[in-house]
Amino acid sequence: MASLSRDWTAKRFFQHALSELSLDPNNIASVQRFELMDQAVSAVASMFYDLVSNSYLTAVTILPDTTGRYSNSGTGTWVAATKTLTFVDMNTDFGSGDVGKTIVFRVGALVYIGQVASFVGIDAVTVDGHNLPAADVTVDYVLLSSSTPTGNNITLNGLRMMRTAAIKLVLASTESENVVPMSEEELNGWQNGAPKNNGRIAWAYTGEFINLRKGADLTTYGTFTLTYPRVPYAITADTDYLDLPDGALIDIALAKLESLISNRVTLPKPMPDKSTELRGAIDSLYRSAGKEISQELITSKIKSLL
Amino acid sequence: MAVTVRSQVLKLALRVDPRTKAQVEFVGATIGTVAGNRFAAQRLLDIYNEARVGLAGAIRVLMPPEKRATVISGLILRSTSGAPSTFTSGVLTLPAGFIDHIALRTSADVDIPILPSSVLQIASRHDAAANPFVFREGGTLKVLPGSTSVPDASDYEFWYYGVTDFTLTDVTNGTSLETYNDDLLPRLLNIAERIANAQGNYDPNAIAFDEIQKG
Repeated sequence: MASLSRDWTAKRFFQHALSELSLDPNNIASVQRFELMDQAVSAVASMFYDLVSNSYLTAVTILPDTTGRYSNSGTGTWVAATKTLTFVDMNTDFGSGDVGKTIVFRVGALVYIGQVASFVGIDAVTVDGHNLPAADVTVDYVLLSSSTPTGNNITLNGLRMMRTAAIKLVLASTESENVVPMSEEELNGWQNGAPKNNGRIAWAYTGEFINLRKGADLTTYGTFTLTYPRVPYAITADTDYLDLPDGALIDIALAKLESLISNRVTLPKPMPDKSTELRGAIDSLYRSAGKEISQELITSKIKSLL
Repeated sequence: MAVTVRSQVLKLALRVDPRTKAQVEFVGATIGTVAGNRFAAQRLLDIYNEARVGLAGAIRVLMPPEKRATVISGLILRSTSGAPSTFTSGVLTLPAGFIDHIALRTSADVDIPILPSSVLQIASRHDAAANPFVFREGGTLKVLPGSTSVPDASDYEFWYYGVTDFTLTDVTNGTSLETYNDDLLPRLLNIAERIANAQGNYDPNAIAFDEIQKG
């Protein structure tokens, strides 16, 4: 995964900050440097996402899960405290795409029904519902529906998506060129048998899911490509490059990093005042993008940075 | 750094104990071998060595790292392969004459921050192969218990300020050089003189602090 900067490694960036603060590496901030740099880069990316969002758009291939599952043999367990159902010998492993699906399980003469709340592992899920077992019991049989009660969905669990700005999602399918976004309310009223919807795929983004419906002419959803705005890649090594576009944003992130370091280490001399420099950098960033920004907003951003 | 130990100790003697017991003024040939009226040869040298340690301590406290590295550049020592830059069972014993650390690095030029033990709990969760660090603990540098980020090896490069006591041989050989920068030598002699005359609180550090703060 290529980071956006081509010039600034984590080591260069952090040493630059230490040098400006007249610090050597023998301090707690050096040990926390990866987290501090992540914090600085994330803060700047989030603060200026309106300018740089296109740089962070990322495409990922997603397959909606339309597979049901059933238990083969043996028994499983239900842990009441955590509402976790574990069954090792399923015909196919549980997956993250099972979240939201209806699950039925038998305990002796009693049959329970619920909805998969979260994916724990290939043998276990948590379940939500009414009148589920109040004590730990042995599970005799499990059936998992092939889709959610309202249709199919794609889970966005595991996607590191920027959620603090206006989220731009684009969904494309190999099965249809007519993939239409809508609200959850519109999706609930969408008629897959209506002639105009026959070749369409409709979708709505809700929390951790993209809910789907397909027209009557489509037998599968095909393979989806989801384009979403990601968060900057985390830094894990000194050789990693910063995930921030080169230029003024690096200077702004440097000021933020120095502020974070100064909160942890006693500085040998006062921190340099970068307010004027930052004001100029932010103003020129917006001008070069053809956008306006008020002086009050610039002042507010500088306060957040420092 | 171009002045011999013999020359320095002779200057000290001429200030505080200028004549031998035979009432002959000290010269280069006799300093370090015969006793003076007040001090035996070793005692005079001990006073001088105390002054050296006291001066280093005062500079360490009073000067910021950047200035310190220039003012006492002659005291910067670097250990490369072999003891004392060896970690054994996660411990590196600080060398004799150690005053303060500067840097610890691997042979691959990876910096290893040296932290105070007071931040052990905060630092411990950051321990990783890509993020090694050690703690100062007494006369050692120690690796976080259970960590493998700083493996036992003998090729670490350890930079530090050190003041190793001179011996009478260093005085008499006429070749051993004082490691302090030349511009500090008069101040060093002032400290030693005050220690010898026990002026004020007989604390080499306190005397050294006073000398440095005179400007």
